[in-house]
Amino acid sequence: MRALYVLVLQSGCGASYDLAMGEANSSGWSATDAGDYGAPSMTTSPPPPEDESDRLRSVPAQTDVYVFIANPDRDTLTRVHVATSSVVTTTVGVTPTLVVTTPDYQTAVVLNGGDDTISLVDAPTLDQTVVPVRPNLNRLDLSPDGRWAIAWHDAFTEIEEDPPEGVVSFNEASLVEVATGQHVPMIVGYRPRSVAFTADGRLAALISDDYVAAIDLTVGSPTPKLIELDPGAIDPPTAEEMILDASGTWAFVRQFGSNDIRVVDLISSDVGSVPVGANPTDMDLTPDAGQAAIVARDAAELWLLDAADPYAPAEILDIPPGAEAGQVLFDATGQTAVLFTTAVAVDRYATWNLSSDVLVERALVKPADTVTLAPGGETLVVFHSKTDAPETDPAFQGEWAVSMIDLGNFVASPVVLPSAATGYAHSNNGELGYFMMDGEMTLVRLDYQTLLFHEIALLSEPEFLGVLPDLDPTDDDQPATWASQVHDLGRISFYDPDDDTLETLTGFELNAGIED
Amino acid sequence: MRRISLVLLLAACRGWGNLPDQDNVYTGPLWDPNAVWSTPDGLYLSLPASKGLGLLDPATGKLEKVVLEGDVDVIRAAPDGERLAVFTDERVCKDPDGELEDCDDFTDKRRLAVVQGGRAEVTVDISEGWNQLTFTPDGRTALLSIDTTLLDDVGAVLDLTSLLAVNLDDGASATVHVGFAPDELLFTTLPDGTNDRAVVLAYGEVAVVDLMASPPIRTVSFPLVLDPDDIAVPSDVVLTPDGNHAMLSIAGATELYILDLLNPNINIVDLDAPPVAMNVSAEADNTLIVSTSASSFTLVDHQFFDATVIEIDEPKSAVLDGGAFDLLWSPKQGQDVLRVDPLTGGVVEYRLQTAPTQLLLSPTEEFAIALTAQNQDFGSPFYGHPGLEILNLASEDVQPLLLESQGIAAAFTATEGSLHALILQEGVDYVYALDLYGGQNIEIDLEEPPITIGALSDGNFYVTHDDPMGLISIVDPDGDVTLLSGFATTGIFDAFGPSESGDY
Amino acid sequence: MWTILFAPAALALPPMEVAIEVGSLHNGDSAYDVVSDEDIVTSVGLRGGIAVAGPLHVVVGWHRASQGASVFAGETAFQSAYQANEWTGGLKGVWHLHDVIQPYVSAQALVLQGAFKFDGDASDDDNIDQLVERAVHPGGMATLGACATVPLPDWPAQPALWLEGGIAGVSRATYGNFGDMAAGGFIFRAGAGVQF
Repeated sequence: MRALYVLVLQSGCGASYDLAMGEANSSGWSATDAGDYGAPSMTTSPPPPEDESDRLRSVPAQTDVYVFIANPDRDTLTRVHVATSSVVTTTVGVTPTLVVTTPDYQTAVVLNGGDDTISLVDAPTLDQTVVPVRPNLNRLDLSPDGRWAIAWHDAFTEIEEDPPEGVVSFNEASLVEVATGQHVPMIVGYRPRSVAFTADGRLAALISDDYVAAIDLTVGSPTPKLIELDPGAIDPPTAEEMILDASGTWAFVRQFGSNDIRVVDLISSDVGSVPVGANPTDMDLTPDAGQAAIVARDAAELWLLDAADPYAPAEILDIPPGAEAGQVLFDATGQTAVLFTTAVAVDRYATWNLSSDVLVERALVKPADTVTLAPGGETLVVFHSKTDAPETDPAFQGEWAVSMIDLGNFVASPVVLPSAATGYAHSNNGELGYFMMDGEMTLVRLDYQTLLFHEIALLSEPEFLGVLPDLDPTDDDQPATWASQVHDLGRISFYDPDDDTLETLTGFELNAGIED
Repeated sequence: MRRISLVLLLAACRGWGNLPDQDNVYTGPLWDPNAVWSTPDGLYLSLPASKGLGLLDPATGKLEKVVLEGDVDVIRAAPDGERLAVFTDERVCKDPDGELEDCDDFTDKRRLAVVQGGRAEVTVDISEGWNQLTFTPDGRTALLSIDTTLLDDVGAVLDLTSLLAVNLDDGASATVHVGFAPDELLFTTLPDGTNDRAVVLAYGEVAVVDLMASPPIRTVSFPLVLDPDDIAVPSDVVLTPDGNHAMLSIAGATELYILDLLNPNINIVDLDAPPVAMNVSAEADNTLIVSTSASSFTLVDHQFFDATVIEIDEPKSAVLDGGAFDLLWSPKQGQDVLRVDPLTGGVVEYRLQTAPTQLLLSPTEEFAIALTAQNQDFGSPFYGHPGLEILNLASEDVQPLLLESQGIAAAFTATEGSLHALILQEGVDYVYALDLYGGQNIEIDLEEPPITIGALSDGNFYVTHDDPMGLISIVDPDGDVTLLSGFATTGIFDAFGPSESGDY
Repeated sequence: MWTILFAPAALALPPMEVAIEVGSLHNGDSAYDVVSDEDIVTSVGLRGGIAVAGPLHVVVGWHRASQGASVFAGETAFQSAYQANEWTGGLKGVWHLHDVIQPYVSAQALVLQGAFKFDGDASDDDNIDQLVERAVHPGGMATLGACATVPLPDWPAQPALWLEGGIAGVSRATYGNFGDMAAGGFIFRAGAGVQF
């Protein structure tokens, strides 16, 4: 299944964008679930391979007024002021691969894969602090308060054609304090898979095959506390996914091939198990952080564990079997959740009213590939796979498609697409969204209120897109959208939905060579 | 005895029709009828044989040689139409008392002289190789470069990545590195008319030189390519009226580079076709661009640099700036001349009988004259004949005229209440004078067929002829002709003497 | 002294002489290159002399030089010409060594009255491209020569041949706008005439 690149902008915050499928982690930045590597969540099969070439492309990041684009070929970071279109390029470390911005919009943090450094770049002035980190790191995450950056090695995003050189460790991570540049190297366990933070940024946890590494970020020099998931086991099941409760006390870990959820007491380091239904395929914290919701696909059950008391009896809800749901997605309002599958070709999904705990099976025009909810929670966006269900409408048979579904009255607006969607972004006011497609020089605007689509022609194929934060939702202005595009010399377009105008800058890569 | 003596005397005293002619002697051209510059001082003439420069007074026909140090190599006119820049070469013996003919140890000196008023106002020693010059419009500075196509032989190591900036007030000079093979230069202008910056097109890059600094320095260099293996040779450049942006086309490419000179950065606008000509309209605050690859022209605004494409019937390759309008045409291709309002993009089409070879705009911008090639359309009344067409730019009227021979040049002169144009035809010994206001056109006979034509500052015209001893006709728009002849023999003996640049 | 050097021969030397002469004067000035590709001004003229005191003779002469060329200036051409009158006058000292051969020395003033002409169309006797500039060069000449005669005492006159060579020079003079020219160097004269 093709990887769909998700670019999600949280309300009022800067973001980093990486190229993995699935929903955004509601408690942190850029964490990707283990099941989000583009493969169906199967009980025993390993995650599918990633599209490595796109993973290596630099991922632009943004603040309220700037878009940052790293160019690994030129060792540069370009800052584009969206309002004035002014472009400034500065040299950073060798082969910058990832850039994230802090939620206060003041710093861009760049991971330079070529010289194993992190550049801490002041967004307004572009002044830099360079911090040497551990070698061969390829993932970068920021704590929700932007105080700490964690760089680590994700074995599942390595490029086969460009393997790491020299002494290669699969255990290491580098913790960098953004304000001071303090570097804390650490061991976090073999093959870390993801990072999770508590919402207040006090605690970070990395899940690896066999360990949870808990890091107290409130101390001056944090050190990891490694908690073994299966003490004494010779070949324990490897961890697949982890969520944290809001207090940072409990970590819930889903393991490959296990029908139990490992519950880790991050304070005492005790580890226990809680059985859930057959083949748990997805796990998430409810928006109120009160419960951990686990989808047991084979059992067609939704297990709800008390996040504060994991060992308390679970609440079990039956998932309509026709939906064959394997994933759950909560809206930001906490009123509705959607259950669906991307592993099986079924044109069904289920809605879950969190107040009444009523789950209702509903129809899709064809099977889903990626599902997302508009930030306002009123509209469901489903990117459909090309695979048909037995009763797929002829107009959509063998076609890519996308649907907007009003979750109030469940009116659906499906459209056929010329090719697969490759990335999307929401505006944080929940009114508009955008997506791009493979090989198409087009940006498509989604109106979540009218369920209408609008095509915007670009000059070349887009690579990444994003929507600037709406800093004043009370005014009538929509925030600008940007889309970086394929061009040897760099190209980025800015779209103003208020007057449907597109401004394109081309050649900003040359700016690095301007001698001033 | 008296008879013999008379015979001897008669034999010795020959008239004009019977001059002695025993030998053949050879020299270079005494003057060049194509190298004439009209200034308020008079007509400056290149004197190739004597490697000099002369100033011809149109009133008296007297030629005075301009005193310069060395032999003239290259002459360039300043854009103000009042001065000339002259490169001279001189070989001098290192022994100050030595004679050059007997000297074994000599040195070659190259100089730049700025000539006005019949004399060299400023003379600056420069190093070997500099042979191209651009004046700043304010006349304060001259920027020298090296055109390798004009070099006969190279006697020193030449730096092809620099300009030589010469202060014309005090003669101070300084080298400024700008990039390989600098070609075209543009200048930004302050409100008081001072040129503060030069924008220099080089091979694969554009440099900005601060002319206000002493000495001038390069402040910004814009790369045009990322990969040194890529080639991007600028073909044309214009400046926005505010001087904040340079718009640059690349030979054979559709990209238009927008260089922000204020906050250095680069933006590239993709056009539909490679530009071949551009023209800036200050009034419309945009730039009109034409291409031979598309039947359209493009207007690029100077605020957002958005490109608006307007379709036309035929591709055009040249733009004539008419101030409030542009004339689009193509030499020897197509029969349309388009008058475009750059503000609105509105087009007025003038259909000619034949493709134009030249298009000239009157100084009042009311008329344009198109000289057309020999018509090849069998069904046309112009078949087999060249023509001249008068375009009335205030209306859509075109007045076609059949010419006796191919029109090769035209010149306008405008005075209070009158506007005239003189048309030269190849091999024809008269000029055709057009009274564009009055409509009374006349033929003015010339002594010989003309070579070039130009306007004098007093409203008359000058016409040069291919006469080895020098012949220029001063033509009054009313038809009076005054001949200036023989002036090229002034100083003729120098043409046979030793060269100051060491050619013996 | 003079008597020893110029001892009378058997016959008296005829006092007067007239002759037709041809001559050449070296002119290496570059200005002359306009009319000739050689540095020689050839001339034809007359000379006369009269003995005044013993071996001393007063001699006067006039030569006419006329030299022209087609000047190829680039791809066009015009006609050039140099025409000059050479006026000479001075003294000659004859050594009456023999009745047949008489060496002599001569010192004379030389006035060159020259004109440079340019004509744009030599086939047209009257066109606008006809320019002439004139100048006068004063100078002098000194020569060594020898005269060969055939004594004919019974005749009123006897033939004589002259051959002389020496140096001559004239000052630089300006030919209007054309420039200036000087001349000088070896001068040669040869004459045939009669003595009487």
